[in-house]
Amino acid sequence: MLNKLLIPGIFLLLVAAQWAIPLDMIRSSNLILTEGKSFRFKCAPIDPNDPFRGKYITLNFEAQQYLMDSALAPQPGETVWLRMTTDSAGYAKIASLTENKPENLGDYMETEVSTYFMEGDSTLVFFTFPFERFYLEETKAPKAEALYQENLQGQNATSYALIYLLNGEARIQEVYLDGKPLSELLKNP
Amino acid sequence: MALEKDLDKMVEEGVISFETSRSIRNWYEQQQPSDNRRLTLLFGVLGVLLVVSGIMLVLAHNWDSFPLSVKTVWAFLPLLVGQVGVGYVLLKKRDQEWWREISATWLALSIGGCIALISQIYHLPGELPDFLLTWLLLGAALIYLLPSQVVAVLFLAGSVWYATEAGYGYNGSLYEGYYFWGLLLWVLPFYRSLWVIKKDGFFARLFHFGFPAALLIGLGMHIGNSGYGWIWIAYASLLSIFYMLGTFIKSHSDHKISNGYYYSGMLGSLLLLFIGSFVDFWKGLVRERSLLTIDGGQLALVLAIILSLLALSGFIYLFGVRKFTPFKPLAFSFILFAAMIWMAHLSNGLAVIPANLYILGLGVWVLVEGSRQKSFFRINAGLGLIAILAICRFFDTELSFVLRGLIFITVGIGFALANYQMIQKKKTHA
Repeated sequence: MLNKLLIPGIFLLLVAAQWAIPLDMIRSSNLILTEGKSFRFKCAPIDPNDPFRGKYITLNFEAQQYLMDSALAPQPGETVWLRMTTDSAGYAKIASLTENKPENLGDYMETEVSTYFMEGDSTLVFFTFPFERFYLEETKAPKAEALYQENLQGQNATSYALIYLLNGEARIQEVYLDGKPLSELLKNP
Repeated sequence: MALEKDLDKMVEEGVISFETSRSIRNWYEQQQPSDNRRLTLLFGVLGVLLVVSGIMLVLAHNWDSFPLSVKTVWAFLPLLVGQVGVGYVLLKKRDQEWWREISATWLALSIGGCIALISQIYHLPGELPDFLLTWLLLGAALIYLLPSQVVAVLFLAGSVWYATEAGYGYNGSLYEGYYFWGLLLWVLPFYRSLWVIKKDGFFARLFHFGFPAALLIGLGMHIGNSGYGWIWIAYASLLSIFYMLGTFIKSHSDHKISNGYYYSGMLGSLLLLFIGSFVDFWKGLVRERSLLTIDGGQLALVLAIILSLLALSGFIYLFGVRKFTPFKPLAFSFILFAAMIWMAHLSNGLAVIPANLYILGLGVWVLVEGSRQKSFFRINAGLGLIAILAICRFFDTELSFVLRGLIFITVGIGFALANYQMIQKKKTHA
């Protein structure tokens, strides 16, 4: 009797969990993109790949470092919250850093310290941003890197990623080269 | 089908226990010609592994021409197929091993594929250890539900992969590998049932090697920042436990299992002793990290104490209570290694003396035993141990060239003489 009810019961629970996890991943991602606040992060794309998730471009951000008082610097691997703001040109920059989770997450972004360098009384802290990958169709990732390199030759060329922040979580929406979305540039190179 | 229904009914009405019904099912499965059964299962599993991986690779191309919604549906499709398949097998074909294994393998693989593709399509962040852990947890129940031996083996392999990603290297500082022990505990009852029901089956044999390997790899996650000596004591104790367990299993000749515990215990213990016979090893260990400090190595200390006590109990049980013969000198290498660590703590040159004497003694002992039993293999194994010891000492610059040369000549002559004598003995007996 136990067997007859238990096995289908556990199986149905398992099926539900197997759907719930990926669906929740999609739901929370969509929520950030629809309700979060957007920031433009200046970046440089390069092209590696992942054995499971296919081709992507890795993004290196200018705002990925922060100079702070040595006595206060957090350790590598530590989770910190960065309050983001924009500079005069409209790009994202780090306004402040806190090691304790802020009550009002507003413009804060949860991230991890990757490494740091001491510079006199100050420490230059580097972070691992949770949006360093932008996945592309297999053949297009190398093209994107080439486009970026060409773009670099031009005067005042800029590339940036459009990031949305909500409740400390961040999601990438699109990468822009010289103001144009990368996905469109790749469609009509 | 009729058998399956009858067995379920008998279990329900308390005529037989669930364990008995499983044994009966297994007996029926064993009645099919075993080579054929194994081959069809092997090719079936290989086929599923290739097909699911292939589908995932095609989807990983990340087809730009499809809108997001279509890509998402495609990501879920293999998972859905797997779930429907497993559901059908659970309802209709539960007594057929082939169907159970194939459907479970498909579903187990498609879980990972689905999460990976969703991460790709929606540009989600996340490190490999988190991904592996989610995958393992979402597939864990399949091992017992069907039950599936292939998924159990994949789960064990996946857990070890998780341990190496989460507990070692760069990520090691960011992630704790403790979940790994939970994963091993989860699969342990399944391994036990494999041991009881099909101890010499193909999958049981994979576990007899895979499980000790997983324990050895898992232990390495707990090397602290200091107190290196503790983890060496823990390793020596674990290897001795394997060796004694393997010796015990081996002595029961009706257990025709490939003995992963025996081989990993023997080779691992010898390796540790040979490493410990180098003076440079101890110098490096003492110089770089304080050998027996507690601060920073607490976990390693606890592991060392637990494993040493376990090894000691095993030693007393095997040779004291059960009076096991012949005596196995390698079984107490954990005591010797702990003593060596203590000696190195006092003076780092001291520890190499017992290591060298012990290996030399062991070599001679195996040689004498081999000669008594007229076993070519044992004689050469004994001589081999002595020869490897001589080669190791060749790299120690502190011994004079003349002494090293004499050791080599002696060992070489020993090899030739011992083998010549054996051949002569065999000829006279023939």
